[in-house]
Amino acid sequence: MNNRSKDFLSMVPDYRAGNLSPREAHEVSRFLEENNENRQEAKREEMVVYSLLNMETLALPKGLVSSSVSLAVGESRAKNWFSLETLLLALGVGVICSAIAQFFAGKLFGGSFISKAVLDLSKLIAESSPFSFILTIWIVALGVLSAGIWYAFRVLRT
Amino acid sequence: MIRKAQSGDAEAFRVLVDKHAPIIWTVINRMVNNTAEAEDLFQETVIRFWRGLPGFKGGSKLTTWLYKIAYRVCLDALSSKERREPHLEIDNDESGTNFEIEDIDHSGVRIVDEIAARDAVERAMNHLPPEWRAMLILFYWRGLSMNEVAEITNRPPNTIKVYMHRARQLLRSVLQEGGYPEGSGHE
Repeated sequence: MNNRSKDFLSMVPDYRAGNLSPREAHEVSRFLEENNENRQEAKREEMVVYSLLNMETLALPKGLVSSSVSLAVGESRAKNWFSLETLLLALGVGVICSAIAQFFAGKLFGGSFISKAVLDLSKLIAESSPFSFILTIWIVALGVLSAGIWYAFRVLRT
Repeated sequence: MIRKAQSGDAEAFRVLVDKHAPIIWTVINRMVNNTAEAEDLFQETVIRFWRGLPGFKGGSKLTTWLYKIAYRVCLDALSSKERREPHLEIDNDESGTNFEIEDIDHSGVRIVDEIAARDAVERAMNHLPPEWRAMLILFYWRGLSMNEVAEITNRPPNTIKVYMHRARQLLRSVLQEGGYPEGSGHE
């Protein structure tokens, strides 16, 4: 197929729709009148373009939009969650909670909670084995961190 | 609505996705020709849409940007699939001329009317290289301009013209093989 035919064929759909200038329309018309093969090729071109223009929108699977949106939004929330800020917040909240708890414990049992804490700690160091001391510190730290994370989780969920 | 979604409003984002989902789904599904795979790629498109939304400056239309994401997601998936299964030969060369009528599985059934002709074109479309399909869909079905298609596919307009011309030529050949219009083609 020569370049002239290519050009005219691609102009046929616009020719049928009346979108060409009179000069272009005349040239396309002459091309179509030239021989039967041109007319048939033009019909095929029209059918191809018609089919492309009128393709159907495919039905979306049920629930695909919801699941995709939830996935996208949920993923980004989870991603935000494990940031340094969240961990610091959790740690801070944990420390404050534990300080408040100690304060009230001090009020209940008499004496200032700081002196009681220092006393407890020195008693622990003096009386316990190094292993049980480290274990205690570990358990306390874990408790504080868990409480902080739990609190931060509650806050972020709401 | 876009502003709300950009600021992290999940409900506004859902409305935006809802609005464009049928078109994006159709483009993706027609590009990959596999519903299960298309579902995964649709999800990936929505995720990238959400992630990129805060940075969307409105330099192009939202739909153009969304088509671009979907197109890129599909092409990435098809490329990695081709790497895993080299016999698929999904990619087409730069000249856009290595793809022949023999590569299209046209059933050889005679095309007797316009409905059959449309079916034949749609079936034949599925055998064209995905990039060509995407260009035809965006240009004809979505009515985008050549420049918009160029922006989405990241190809120069002249390359797109060559691909689309070649694609239409192959689709015409399928019709001719089926004897369309009546009284033409091979018996």
